[in-house]
Amino acid sequence: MGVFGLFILAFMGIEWISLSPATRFLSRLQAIPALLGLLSGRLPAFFFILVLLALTLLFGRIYCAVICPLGILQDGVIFLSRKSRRFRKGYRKSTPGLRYGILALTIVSISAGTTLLADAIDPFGVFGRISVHLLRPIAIMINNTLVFTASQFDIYSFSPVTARQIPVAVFWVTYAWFILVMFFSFFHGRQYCNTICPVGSLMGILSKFSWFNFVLDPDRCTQCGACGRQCRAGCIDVRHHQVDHSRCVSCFDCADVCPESAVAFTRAHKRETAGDPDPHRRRFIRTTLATGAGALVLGAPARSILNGSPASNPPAAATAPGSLGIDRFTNTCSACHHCISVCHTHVLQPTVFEFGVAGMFQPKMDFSSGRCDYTCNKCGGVCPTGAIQPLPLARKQRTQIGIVDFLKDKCIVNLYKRDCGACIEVCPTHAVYGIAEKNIRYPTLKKEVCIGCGACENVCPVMPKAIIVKPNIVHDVADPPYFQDGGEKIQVDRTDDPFPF
Amino acid sequence: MTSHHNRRQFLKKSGRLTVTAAATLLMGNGGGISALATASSAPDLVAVKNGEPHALFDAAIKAAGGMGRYVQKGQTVVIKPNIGWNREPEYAANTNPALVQRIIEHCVNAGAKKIYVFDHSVDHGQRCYKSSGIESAAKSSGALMVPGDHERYYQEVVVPGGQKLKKTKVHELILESDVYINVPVLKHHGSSGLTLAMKNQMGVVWNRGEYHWRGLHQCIADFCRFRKPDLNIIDAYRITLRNGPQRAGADDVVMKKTLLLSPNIVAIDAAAAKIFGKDPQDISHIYYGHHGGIGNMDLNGLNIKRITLPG
Repeated sequence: MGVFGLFILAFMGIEWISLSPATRFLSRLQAIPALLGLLSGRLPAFFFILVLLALTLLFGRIYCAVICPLGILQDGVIFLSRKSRRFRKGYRKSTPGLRYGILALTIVSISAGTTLLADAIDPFGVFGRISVHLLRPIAIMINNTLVFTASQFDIYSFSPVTARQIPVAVFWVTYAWFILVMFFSFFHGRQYCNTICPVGSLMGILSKFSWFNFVLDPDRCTQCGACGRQCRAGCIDVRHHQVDHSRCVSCFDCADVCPESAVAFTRAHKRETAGDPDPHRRRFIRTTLATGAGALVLGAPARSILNGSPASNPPAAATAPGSLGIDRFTNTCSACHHCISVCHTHVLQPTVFEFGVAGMFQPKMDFSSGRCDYTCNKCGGVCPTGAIQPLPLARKQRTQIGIVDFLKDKCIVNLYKRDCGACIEVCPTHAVYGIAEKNIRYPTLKKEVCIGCGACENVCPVMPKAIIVKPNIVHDVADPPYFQDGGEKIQVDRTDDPFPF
Repeated sequence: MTSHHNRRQFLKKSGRLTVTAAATLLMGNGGGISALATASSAPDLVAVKNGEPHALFDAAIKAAGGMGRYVQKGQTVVIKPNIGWNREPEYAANTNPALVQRIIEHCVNAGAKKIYVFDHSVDHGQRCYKSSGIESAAKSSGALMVPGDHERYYQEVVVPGGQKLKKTKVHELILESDVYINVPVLKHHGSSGLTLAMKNQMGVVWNRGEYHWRGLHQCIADFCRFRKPDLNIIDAYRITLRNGPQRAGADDVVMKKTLLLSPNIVAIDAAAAKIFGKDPQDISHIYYGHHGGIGNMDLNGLNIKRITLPG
């Protein structure tokens, strides 16, 4: 519950919770983000994968019970479902074909170079998107109602938050997954985890070898069926005294309800009959090996088809500073949207097709929505995969994600010969600065110091914009900020001057 | 009989006329005397230099006749500093927090019922409030820090006689407060040449972008037709001479230790432009303000009080 509460608050974009060590640790411990981080060569991800492997090999799918926020959310729904007596009780047959098929497809698609499927069904990402796009707007509405009500009584201790419209596709897909997960959990317990979730499937395989597992003691068991009815995964076959460890989510309910203490969490596989390999598992391993090899051969062409913007063309939008470049970013991001929730300027927005099919729903820099705050590096701080690497502020302030371009024929100053300078005012590095001519300040570029923050494009008052950022394919390092007349010393103390009037 | 009657009527009438004339003369005179008295005790513009922010303001408001002249007991006051940028006080991108604090203290002493401080920041509001030091200064001296970064605080108003700016949305505090005190910082500004008191009023409206495409300087001048602050105080303690308004270089900010105070928004801007070393005519919104009858940029005809503190 603690984990769940922490993640809910983190995804509401509450800065200090999002950046707290506990949130950072727990979000990096999420399976798909850790895996994607590992594949992109992040060393810390290796540590987290080891922790997850060790946990699973020791205690089975304890991850699904206490670390995965979507799992905990479903447990909440299951609790309500039990209260309303809608919970479907008893043992359910597993659906290994569908289950391992989805897992195999996920692995194949990742090796083929797209995280699309993994992003779509990753429980952390699903939970993140539900929180950010469904719950957060409600939280903002409540917050703002309270803030504006309080302001009627001259209480201004809290600040209102501005919500941004997201692409309708992102909303509906998130909503659909929310309904799907709710439906599954309300009527079928942890069915999402045991059918669709690739983490559940992979850990299910590992669980069979885990040190501790739930075991029914046939000598004590009176076959009362209490454990089977309580089981949220429907994985206890009371009649045969069997627990399907690949589906067990280590919730301890069975042990709690057993009146005879016949359910034990103990070293399990010693008791299992030796030499009884699971045919489905074998098929899974075979399929995966075959398709994995195929993916390696066919990977490159598949990648070029799936990625809408191969590395030779600039992407349709820039990626956040710390993501190093479009290809690395789209291959690593799990689209959990935590960065979107903490971005106070709202420059980070979900894509639909801007990064190609492969990069669907991953965040882009949307300069029509906001600009990258020069003094902020939160997105890298919250990213669980390392798709946006954490950058120290000084480095972020030199990281060039794109380069400014000036369309003189659309600029107010050039068209009407009068001051505007919205871009000049907001540029943090003076990549666009004013050169005065007949007392009018004309925007002038110093491209090598531009970091592509998009402030100029964001505030440019004409439509279409007269100043835009062209995204870099691979991020670069900008020159230090430019100062006009820099170096010409000004007398430091000018307090001795007489009043000039 | 008739003639007698006429003479009496005539006398009566002329008597009444005399009384009226005398009264008019007396009252007129009286008005003249009080106007002269005001002029001698309250200058049009006060300029103080060579002191710390609080000492500069103490001297300026004393010379202007005390805060009680502007703030009556039980009134509500809104103070509008420049809190546009997420920058610390030493960079002088925002108004000096020590000055804002001193102004609030004077308002408290004058018996103000409530004192509000806000700006529609360019950078993220909460971050600016914090890093500028103004939030903590305001809260510690008894003022309320009000957010300016949400559209719901803004109400649409008509700008009477506005040439380019005919309608705009204004922060409700400007509409509701009894006294409006405008406290900009003197800075070089890449878009408008300088940023001063008239330009600082861009932070009380919601849609600034509109100014930029309609005509920056004319809109700045136009807004003054809707509302002029009751008092303007220009912070020239530290001034940004180049590469303003937000991220000037270390060599671009100098100590000037000066403060200006005036109810006349055009005059104070003209004086500040001169301190910066510019001809007020070259700052187009000052020029428009002067010729549009908003205020006076010709300082020669004004009663200016100049004070140099011992330091």
